[in-house]
Amino acid sequence: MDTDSKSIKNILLVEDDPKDVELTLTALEGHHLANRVTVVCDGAEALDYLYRRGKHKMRGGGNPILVLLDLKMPKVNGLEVLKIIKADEDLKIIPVVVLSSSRETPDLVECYQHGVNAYVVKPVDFVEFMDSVKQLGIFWAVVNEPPPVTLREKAGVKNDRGLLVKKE
Amino acid sequence: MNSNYSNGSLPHTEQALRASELSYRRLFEAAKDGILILDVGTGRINDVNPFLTKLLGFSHNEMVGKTVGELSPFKDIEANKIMLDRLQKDGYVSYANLPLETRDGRHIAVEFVSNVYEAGDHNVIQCNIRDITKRKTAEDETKRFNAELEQRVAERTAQLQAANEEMEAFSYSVSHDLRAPLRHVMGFVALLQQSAGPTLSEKNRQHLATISQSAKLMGKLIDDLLAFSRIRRSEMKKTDVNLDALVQDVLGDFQTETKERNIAWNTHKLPHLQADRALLRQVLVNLLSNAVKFTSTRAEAKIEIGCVPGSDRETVIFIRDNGAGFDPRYAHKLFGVFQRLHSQEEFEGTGIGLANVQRIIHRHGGRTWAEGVIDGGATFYFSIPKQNMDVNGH
Repeated sequence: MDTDSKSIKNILLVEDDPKDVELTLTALEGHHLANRVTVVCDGAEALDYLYRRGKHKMRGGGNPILVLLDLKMPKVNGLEVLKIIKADEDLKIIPVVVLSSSRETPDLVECYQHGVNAYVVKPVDFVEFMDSVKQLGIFWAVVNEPPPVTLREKAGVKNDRGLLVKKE
Repeated sequence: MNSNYSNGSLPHTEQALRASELSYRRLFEAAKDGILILDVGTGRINDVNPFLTKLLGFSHNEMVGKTVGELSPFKDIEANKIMLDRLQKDGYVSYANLPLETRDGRHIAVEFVSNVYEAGDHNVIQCNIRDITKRKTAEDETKRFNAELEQRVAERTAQLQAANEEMEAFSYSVSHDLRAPLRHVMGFVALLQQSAGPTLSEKNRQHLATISQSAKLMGKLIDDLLAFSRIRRSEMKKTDVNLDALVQDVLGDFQTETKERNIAWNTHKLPHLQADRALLRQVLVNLLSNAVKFTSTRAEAKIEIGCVPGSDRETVIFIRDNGAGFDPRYAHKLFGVFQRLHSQEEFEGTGIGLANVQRIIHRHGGRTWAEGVIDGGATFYFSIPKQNMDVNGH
């Protein structure tokens, strides 16, 4: 039961820059959120993780309770990942928060048009950055009530081809 | 009847006829249009006036007795026979623009109108030929100019579009790519300060603090530059703006910031303007926050907002303060990007505010300027064109 809830309540951080990964994890450390973060380094790997393909074929657990998504990444960029998640009947219930360096209007417009749940501009100032990411982690992982397990597991059943199917 | 004839009325009629003939002749000779008289049956030229012989370069004798088609300038005109048929049938033939070549090879254009009329017991054809070469050349010239102009406008538009796209790509790149390394510098310096700070010398801690401050300033400059470029790219929606209400609204923003200060606000009655409300608000915020900032050393700050009366072409608004002022020798630098006339120690700021003000006012077709003396306060002006001066207003 314990491992179950732990693996279910994970956060997927999609970020190509290891320096940003380190700073983000540092910010999340405070509330013991960092150890629940799975890091993937670009959009293509994020999709492999969500659809249990490639090196994530054998991963356990259901869908993450939150996807933290960088926009500018090699191969498949953040916006493309967002579009795929929000167009997928089973994945679209996952809250997606874009964490971007850009506050340019076109980026904001496109993300909101494709159903992003929140858009956070990474502050340049360290204290502000820490604050923003911490608040974000607390809100989505602690304050916010994630979609019911049954909904998430249903998604698990469909996407989890060949893997054991968990049912309550 | 015969007795009447012998009464001498014939000579009287003859006299009138001669007089009429004479005045016709003079008209014919002096006309500034070419005139041809043709025989309706044969189409041969009976008479031609001096203007036309001169225009075409033939003598009177060379033309009389020929058909129009036999003369080289008219060789491209439809066959004599067809023209005659049409004249006989409709009594009228005209060509609005007939290109001709004169005997000496000049290319001219004429308007050619011919009609049939009765001359006593027989019909004659009169052709009026007007030289429209000048008009035609002017028209062609105008057409060519217009085409050239359109071409140039298209080229410039394409250039402008390319420049805009480049600008867009540049802003995007600055936004994404320059901020990330800056964030890393600040982030890792902060982590270093946290973990190694206690073991470092005072001097080394100071160095880390300087790195951090400089990176922070650079971040602020990048943000300001992006906001500045956004003004040019943002869409402008002009509406009727009640400046009185807008100023009151903006002053509300300063209440918290200035509640410890002693500021005497003097707001005069202000007019309505045709402007983008959000952009105009930004102008007022920038100018008023400058006034608040540069009077911070005054025991009693005075800030005055009013309208300069007079011009019917534009509305001129001023914002006057009794603050630090500026050296009028550098007034021209005030509105430049990141230009500052005071040190950071005296007054903080990156120097983007007045550049934003100027860009917004320029987008409205207005002007910005300032007056000031060192330590004697400053007055900033901006103008917005009045609606009836607007091209669309006419």
